[in-house]
Amino acid sequence: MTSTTDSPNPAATARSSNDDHVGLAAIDLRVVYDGFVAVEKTTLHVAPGESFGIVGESGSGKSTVLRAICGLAPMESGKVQLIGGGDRTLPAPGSKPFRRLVQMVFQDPYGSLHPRQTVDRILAEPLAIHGIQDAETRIERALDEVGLGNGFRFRYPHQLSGGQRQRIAIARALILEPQIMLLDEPTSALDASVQAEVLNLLEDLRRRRGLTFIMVSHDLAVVTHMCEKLMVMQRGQTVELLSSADLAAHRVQQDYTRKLMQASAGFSRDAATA
Amino acid sequence: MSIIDRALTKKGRAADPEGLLPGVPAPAASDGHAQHDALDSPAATTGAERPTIDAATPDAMAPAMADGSPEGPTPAPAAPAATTEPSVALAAPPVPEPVRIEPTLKAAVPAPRPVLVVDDLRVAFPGRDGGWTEAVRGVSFTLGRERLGIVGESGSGKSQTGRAILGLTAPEGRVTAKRLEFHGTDLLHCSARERRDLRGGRIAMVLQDPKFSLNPVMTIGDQVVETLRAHSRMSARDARDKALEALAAVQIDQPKRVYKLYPHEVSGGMGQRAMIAMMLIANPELLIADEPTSALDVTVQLQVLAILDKLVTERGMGLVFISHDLRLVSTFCDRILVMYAGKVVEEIASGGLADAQHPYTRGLLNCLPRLAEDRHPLPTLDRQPAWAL
Amino acid sequence: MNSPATSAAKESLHDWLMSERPQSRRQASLGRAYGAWRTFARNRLAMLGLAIVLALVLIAIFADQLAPYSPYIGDLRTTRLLPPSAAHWFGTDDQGRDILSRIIHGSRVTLYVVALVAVLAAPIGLVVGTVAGYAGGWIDAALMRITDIFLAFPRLILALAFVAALGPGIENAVIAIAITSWPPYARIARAETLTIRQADYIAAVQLIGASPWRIVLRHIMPLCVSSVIVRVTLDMAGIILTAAGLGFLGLGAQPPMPEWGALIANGRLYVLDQWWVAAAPGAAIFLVSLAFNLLGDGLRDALDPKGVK
Repeated sequence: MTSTTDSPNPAATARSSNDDHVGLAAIDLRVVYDGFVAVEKTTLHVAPGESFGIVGESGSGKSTVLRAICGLAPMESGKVQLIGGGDRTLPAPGSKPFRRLVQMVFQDPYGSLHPRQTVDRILAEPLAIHGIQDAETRIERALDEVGLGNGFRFRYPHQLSGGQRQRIAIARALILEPQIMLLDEPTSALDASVQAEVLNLLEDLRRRRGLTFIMVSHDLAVVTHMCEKLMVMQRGQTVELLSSADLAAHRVQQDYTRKLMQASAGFSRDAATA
Repeated sequence: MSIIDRALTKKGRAADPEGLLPGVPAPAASDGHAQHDALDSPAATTGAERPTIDAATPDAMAPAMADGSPEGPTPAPAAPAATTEPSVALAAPPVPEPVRIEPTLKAAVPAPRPVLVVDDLRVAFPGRDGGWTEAVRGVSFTLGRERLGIVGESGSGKSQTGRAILGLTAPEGRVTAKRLEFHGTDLLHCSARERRDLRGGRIAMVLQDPKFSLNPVMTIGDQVVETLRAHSRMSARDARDKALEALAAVQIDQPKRVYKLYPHEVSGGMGQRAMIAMMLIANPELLIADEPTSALDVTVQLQVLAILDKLVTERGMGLVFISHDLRLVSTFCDRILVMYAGKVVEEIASGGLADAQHPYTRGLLNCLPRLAEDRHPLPTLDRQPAWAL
Repeated sequence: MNSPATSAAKESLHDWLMSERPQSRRQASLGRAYGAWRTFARNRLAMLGLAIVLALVLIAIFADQLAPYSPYIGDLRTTRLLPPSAAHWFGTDDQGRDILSRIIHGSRVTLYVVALVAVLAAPIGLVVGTVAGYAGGWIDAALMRITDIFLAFPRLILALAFVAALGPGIENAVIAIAITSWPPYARIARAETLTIRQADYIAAVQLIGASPWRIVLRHIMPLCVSSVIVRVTLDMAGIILTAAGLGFLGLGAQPPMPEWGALIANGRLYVLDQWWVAAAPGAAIFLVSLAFNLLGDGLRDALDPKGVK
């Protein structure tokens, strides 16, 4: 059933009252690989508890921005800092405490889990690295939260389906109880029906835990569904920043964004022969 | 007129001895000869006719058929055509007669022989502990000169169906069917040599990711030429010229430059276009495209689809478009088969998505997020075991 | 012979191991090992190789019980250079010693050499390769140049140098062989690491905050181990031959140790008339090398990462 387009995420307003939540700001990020400029002076500002989407085609630099934020891509210039969080001092990017606050879910469910480790081992690893006790209960709870029972605990990744693997990846990201989740096309490798389940799961988790999302996708519909604010990128540049409500209502400034919207509508014989 | 059209008409003569032309009844043997002439003579007029056919088709009827066969809209003579009649008819301006083929239509005109007949196709693979698991469980359909979409999720058996038609199932698999015929040739029982001749020549396949389906150590031009020389005798220079023409036909801007590039040096969209050029250069009558646009960006997808559309319309090919994207297929294809767990659960005509009956199809459509709508949470597919029966 | 009860028990054990839904760590790892074993067991030649290697191990363990005569003491008057007979299956050598007994005792030396080289060379190669592959940059360059240096040494020449420096003996021969054996393992491990390094699961673990050592030791090495194991097994044939070669040159085992290469050297003088003195140890070396080759091939098919999903 459809709700009014006014407030795409009904839980958004409820959460902003909680002070402890952390947001993220990336200022003038620039990523260069061997002379090739992947991301050119990009700035984004994600308020605590917000869901922010980055949309673009291949080569737009959207995934690179995400990787630069968490330190997996070399940043030539620019700054990443955490914001919000009430009174506490926020850790610097790249440090171990930063890792507890910012986690990522990767695109390819077939590549993001170690092929020779059981689910149990995969989930225990973050706890072992950060010296967190009572691993047993935490692992069980994590599996529960992503909708998989305890029976999945000792399977190897090749014994799981794509959707199940992605759920394990989400559980792994959540087990450290981060505040910010970076989602790199989490559902693009999944079937449509599984995608709906995973998107619902992500939304549910966000609402329950008050997480901040930064989501990257090439699929406009998915990103508009999940996120409140959007950034459109093309070839490393920011094309437009707008809210998803505006996009859904076609209040779009740039031609490229319009082109993307048109393309998502599917093939049109008249447009093609025109 | 282009070399491709010349080749096509020659091919048409070879490939169409018994009249797959729209609206023409399956003639007796004596007519075969007449048909040959009919096909040959419009060589001069095809070029002029084509624009009218294209313009006529949208008007003709809603499910636009990929039927702009350059053989021309031969009127439907009830009686076997006299030798002189076809040429006369074709010399006249084309009649905007309903010329589409819809094998399921109970028209007054008997349906022409379909390009592909699949009846109870089954593909099975050996399981871990002895038994056989069927990936495709009794798929049946006929294909005329139209665009048929086969849609399903992973594990539905759609790719295996496409591969079985071409004989590309993995060696440990087992393919059985009551009928699997391409223009009357039995694909199941033909010899390996026959199948090889068919493949790439009369039946072509375009795969998903050009990074994996193009040979990484050969230049694009060399690969196109290789396909050419595998299926026809020609000198290296002729082959090169034809290859350049083929690259231009798929809207590659600088064919000479791309000819010399390696697959990893070109973008996904260009690689896929090169793949299409390679597959279409031998003028196949059937093209099986297995997720040809899934690895491409959205804007590039539409360009590639437009190219496919144009080529299919121009040559009167049959197209089997296998994809997981139900919405995209519904905007592109004329007919859609929805597969689930190895079976066809529903057949929809283009534009009839909203009237889909089967709960799986409806569920699949519903669970996709839509730009205009806002549904939290998204409806999910509630799989019923009954669908797999 | 199999009662219904035992065959039912076997069935359920098989099912338990092959289950797609393991309930415990033990079941999961045992299940994987069992799956690899089944793939291996389907290869008849590999099973033959395994049987021969197991036989070698058993013979070495029970050498004292199995050898009919003493390998060191022979009667020069009565039993010198006797041809193969019922009493002496492989005949006797120039000192009246039973060749069969010498070969049986010599299997201990062979196993000793093979095991020591594997235990020394493989871990060194694995560590060097994975560290070089993961670290990249100047560490990679430095380690690979060191590897190249060791790769450049021909085994026998290096063994000669060692012997000249430290004196002949089986231990020095083993060290010489081990030192020249590890570079290929380092290369294999590095090549695998370079591919694995790109994977998302390594990025995930980096993101969690794992230290580089943890990543190399606990995430990358387990994936490289199977390739290295296969390579080591295939190399064992070569190692046996090298040890035999050193023994032949008098650089390895010293008399009266019945090392197979030394036995051949001994028999060289009599090969025209008393062919059995050299032929028997030669056949033993051939058989064991072949067995390791077959075993290595079978292991590669069973452990190949491409086969494991």
